[in-house]
Amino acid sequence: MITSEGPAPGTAIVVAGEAEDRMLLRSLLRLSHYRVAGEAEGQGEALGLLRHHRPAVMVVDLHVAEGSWPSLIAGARAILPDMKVILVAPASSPPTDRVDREQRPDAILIRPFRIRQFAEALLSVGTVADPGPG
Amino acid sequence: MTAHQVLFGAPKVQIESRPVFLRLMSTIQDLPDEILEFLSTEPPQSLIVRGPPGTGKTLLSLALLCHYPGRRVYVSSRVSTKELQREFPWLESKANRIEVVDAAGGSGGVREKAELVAYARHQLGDPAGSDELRSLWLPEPIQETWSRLDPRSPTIVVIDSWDALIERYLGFGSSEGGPVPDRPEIERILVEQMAKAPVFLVLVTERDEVTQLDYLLNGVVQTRWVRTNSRVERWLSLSKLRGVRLDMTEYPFTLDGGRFACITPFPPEYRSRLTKAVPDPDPQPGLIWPGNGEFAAAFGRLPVRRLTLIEKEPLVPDEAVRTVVRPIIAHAVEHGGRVVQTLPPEIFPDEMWSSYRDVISLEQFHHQVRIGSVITHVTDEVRPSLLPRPPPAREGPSGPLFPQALQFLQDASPSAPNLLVSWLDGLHELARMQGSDLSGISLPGVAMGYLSTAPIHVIFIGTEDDPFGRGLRAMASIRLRFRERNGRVFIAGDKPITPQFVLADSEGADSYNLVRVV
Repeated sequence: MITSEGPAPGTAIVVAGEAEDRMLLRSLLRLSHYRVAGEAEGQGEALGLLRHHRPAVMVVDLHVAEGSWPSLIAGARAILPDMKVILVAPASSPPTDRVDREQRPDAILIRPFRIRQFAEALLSVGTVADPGPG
Repeated sequence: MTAHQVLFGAPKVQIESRPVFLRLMSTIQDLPDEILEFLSTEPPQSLIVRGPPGTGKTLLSLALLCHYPGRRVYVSSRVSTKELQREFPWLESKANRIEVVDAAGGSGGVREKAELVAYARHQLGDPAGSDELRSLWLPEPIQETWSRLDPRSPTIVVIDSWDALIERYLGFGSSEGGPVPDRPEIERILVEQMAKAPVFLVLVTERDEVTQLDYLLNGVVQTRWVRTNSRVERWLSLSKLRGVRLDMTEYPFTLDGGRFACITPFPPEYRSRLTKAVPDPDPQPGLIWPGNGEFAAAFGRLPVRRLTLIEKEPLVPDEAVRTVVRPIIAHAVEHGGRVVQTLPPEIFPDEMWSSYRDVISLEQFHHQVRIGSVITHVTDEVRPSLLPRPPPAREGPSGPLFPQALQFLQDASPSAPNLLVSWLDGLHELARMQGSDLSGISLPGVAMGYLSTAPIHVIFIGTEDDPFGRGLRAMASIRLRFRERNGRVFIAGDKPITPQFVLADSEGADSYNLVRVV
């Protein structure tokens, strides 16, 4: 059969307040063979994408347009407990660890990072790999 | 276990064409053996499919996809997924599962990518000139395709067309702002990137000129079509398939039924046999069944008291013509018809009986068949069917070369399919030996004498330059031309006017197949 969806490899969504960051994270995910199912500026939009696409991983920029990353992660965990979360943060404002357990990301990437480090972060959280054509 | 087995999980891909030792004549195949072998090589691998618009590149690409043993991704920059489904419904089967990346819609151009790369350098601290971010220059559909690849699974990626995709990408505001890579640079990045995964990359291009892709990629094939006597001929040229021996570089193909299919050469060693004809599904008075459904569909049935002229180029093997004529004869003798054959000078009459014996008994052979030949040394089995050579003519037109033949046919049952089949070179030789003044001018009159007095259909076979044949053209109700191109036999009807066909082996009940070239 022809399918524009195809056999989904590892899927991801991107959440970032700035369009440039979303574009960059999308490209980096694709380089690591992740299909980007959707992109969101803020928390509400992101949770909607999660319900719809049920991705294997969510990459969140520290700066989201609406809501906050801790509450976004907590909300996401409530919907998809097994989904992995990678938080991208600038070196100037690293995330504190004073958050509840359900608000913690599975990995944190501090900018500037290399593409290789991004790929390693994805590997380290052990997200669902491409299942093949099935 | 070889690396190939690791990648594909099975020994070398099983080519779906028939093994060579079973090939009887030209066969119709989905793809040439050389391409099938190339498809089975270990990835990364790469191929250019080049050709002008409308020459069959997309259908060739789809055939490549269908035959690839791994995953399949089709990047379509010309048609949407829905259009593809509508145009090629046969792709809908599970066996042909193909992922489509729709690149037909607008997506960001190179200017947008320039902003991304600049931002990435800033954000990721990537030093200018580093190669790490080069892949970010690839167009969106390519990045989307890359995201779908599994680095552990061999995947074929067909980009159709690369020209449309890259030109649209570079066309988006490339004249302003900072430096952006040009097309050759993007192509280098593409090839480098795809080589990092087990990808069989196929780039479809309309560009006629040789570019760096010709040496960057391991394979180059070209499609083209030519018009011959107002009829289409399609050809696939295999210019380069690195690692594969190219025994045959030219393949005619057809797109009949919306599928790519090519035709293998007609083997010089092929020998046709008189085998039982396919029964006439709908007998019609006054029309003789040609013993083959493909012939009937292409050129019609053979009208009684009319003439068929088969003209062939000198390079066309006689066996190709016999392949078409023998089912006609088989049908005739199976249905009680009488057959007179004048043989080419090099054919022994005994060979005729050898070819008939699978269809009729010796008794039937003696009763229904007469053979005219310059060779009179025959076995006792054949002698009763051999026409005695007439005495040399003393003066003037000598009338029928074989009066016994005419009488034999005049006595035939009018309701039976009766035939006179004459090879013109044999007729020349017989006329010369008899001292007859038979010529291209007088032969039509002789033929008319047979047709007006005997319930038969006459088939004359000769080369295009034979004056006997030229003289018969006007009175032929069916006129077929056999041509040879790169080892294939093309057949076209001038009466009636038909498309061009390639003579090929049949997988069905028919003894041969006529592959319509469209």
